[in-house]
Amino acid sequence: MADNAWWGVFTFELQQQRCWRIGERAIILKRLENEWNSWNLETPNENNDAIIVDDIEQYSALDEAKFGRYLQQYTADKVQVLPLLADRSVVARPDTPLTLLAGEKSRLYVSTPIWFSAQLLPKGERLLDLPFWRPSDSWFGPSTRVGQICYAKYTAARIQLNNIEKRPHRAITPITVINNHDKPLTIERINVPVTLLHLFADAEHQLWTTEISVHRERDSDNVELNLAKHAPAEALAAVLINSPRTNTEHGRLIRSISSLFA
Amino acid sequence: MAGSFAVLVVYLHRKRATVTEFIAFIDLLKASHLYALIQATLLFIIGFIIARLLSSAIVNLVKHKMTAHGQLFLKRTIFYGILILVSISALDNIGIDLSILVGAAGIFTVALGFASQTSASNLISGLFLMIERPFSITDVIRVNDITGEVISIDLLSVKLRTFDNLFVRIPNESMIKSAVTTLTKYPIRRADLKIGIAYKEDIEQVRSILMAIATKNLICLEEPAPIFILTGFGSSSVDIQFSVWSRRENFLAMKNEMYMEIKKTFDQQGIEIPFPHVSLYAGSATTPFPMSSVPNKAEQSDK
Repeated sequence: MADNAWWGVFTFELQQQRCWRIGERAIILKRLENEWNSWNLETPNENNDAIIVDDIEQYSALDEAKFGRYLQQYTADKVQVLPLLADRSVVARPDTPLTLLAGEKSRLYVSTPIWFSAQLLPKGERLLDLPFWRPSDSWFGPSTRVGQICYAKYTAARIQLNNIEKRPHRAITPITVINNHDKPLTIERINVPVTLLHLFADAEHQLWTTEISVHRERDSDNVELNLAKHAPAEALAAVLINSPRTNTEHGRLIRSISSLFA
Repeated sequence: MAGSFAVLVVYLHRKRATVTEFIAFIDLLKASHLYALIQATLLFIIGFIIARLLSSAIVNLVKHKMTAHGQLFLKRTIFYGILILVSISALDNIGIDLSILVGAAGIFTVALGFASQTSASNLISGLFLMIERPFSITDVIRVNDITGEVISIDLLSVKLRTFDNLFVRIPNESMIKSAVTTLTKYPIRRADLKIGIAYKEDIEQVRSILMAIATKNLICLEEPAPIFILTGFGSSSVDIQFSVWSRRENFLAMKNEMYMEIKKTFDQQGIEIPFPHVSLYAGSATTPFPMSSVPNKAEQSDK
């Protein structure tokens, strides 16, 4: 794992506690002889500070945190902490609706929130799977009868990579849209299937996902979705951090256009 | 020794006599209708048990591939199918000619139809309900102000468990006749929050406050977007309907959170939620009733 990263394998002595913190937002894990304790201290607003891992013994405001106890006969000393993508698709919207003209191609960058996962080694039992900031629920589909529940809020979609703010608790997904149809494609919202994407980290610990390319062919209401297996070109010296929540054998999916764009 | 031998001989003789009597009895029984009747009853009972076991076994085999509703339907079909076959064969065994029964069925049906009008109607309605499937087991439905979870759909009635944990049996006939609302059909639901604000308030400000509350609430859906409707000028308030969406599992929680947050924010922002005021008015020609506050006489005398 990368040095100074907030993820990786952490060794806990008995009674030792560690805290992953972004400003006031904190997730604390403590090892006891027969149980693991966790404290989840949430804050209402997103903070863009770096994620700090420390061993602070006394932590104020622990009473307000959500407390969890995980029992084991004997606790082992190793915990694997990893970033994970959201557990549902995420909807992002550009600042203003975009229209991709007929026969054109464009590349968008979408940033989506990251979850914190902690697993016990060697068996891999999951202790925690929490978002740093839970995005709000949303619905994506052609009608209120047909569609899927997904997340919105704390997302951004930009055309220029420089315009997207790099944050430690967000991952960037490059999306290439190719419109081979004879009509323009209007993009008000994009549904990003993050549960199918791999997660990478570049040399600066910025998180990236695999690249998605969307092909809209002539005379078809369906779009072809291609998921790459490798890190995007923008992520320099990228290392694979975590695999997708849902494994797909094929990197090529056919979806109806209304399930991706609105 | 000789004595005991004699006893044994007598015993065996008697025994033979008993066996002969028994065989004679069986022959008599065979000749009578009773034997056929017992045979038919046994056939029916064994058939019943087989139908039970077989239907359960088949449903167990395909359990993971079917919904609770489908399982129940399959189980019933197999059970009643076997039972009907067994009954026909049992009747045949007694010696009842089924062709006569079929002939008599016309008259019989008319008689039975009159006698069991309600049950027959429920039965037919039950079949339609099973085919039409407006809801299935574990769905939450509302029928004539009764809301509850469907626990079984039977031939004569549908059984519900209400949220205050009561068992309600609704005849199928009334299910067919009245409007049935399935609350768990679609994944998302809309809550219409009725809010009244004082006439002095800035409606545009109230609108933006409500939208901000909806955006802040995580279980309130972003899309479909909340709808702000000014429903009219009420007797004491400007009436607003604020419609917000949530996942159906979160419906009640979201409604509660929204109402609580609205009250809290309105209090903080000084927006008045009025309640009905009664003003007495005696017409324009007459002057209003003179009113003044008079100190209590008892209090005055104390002083």
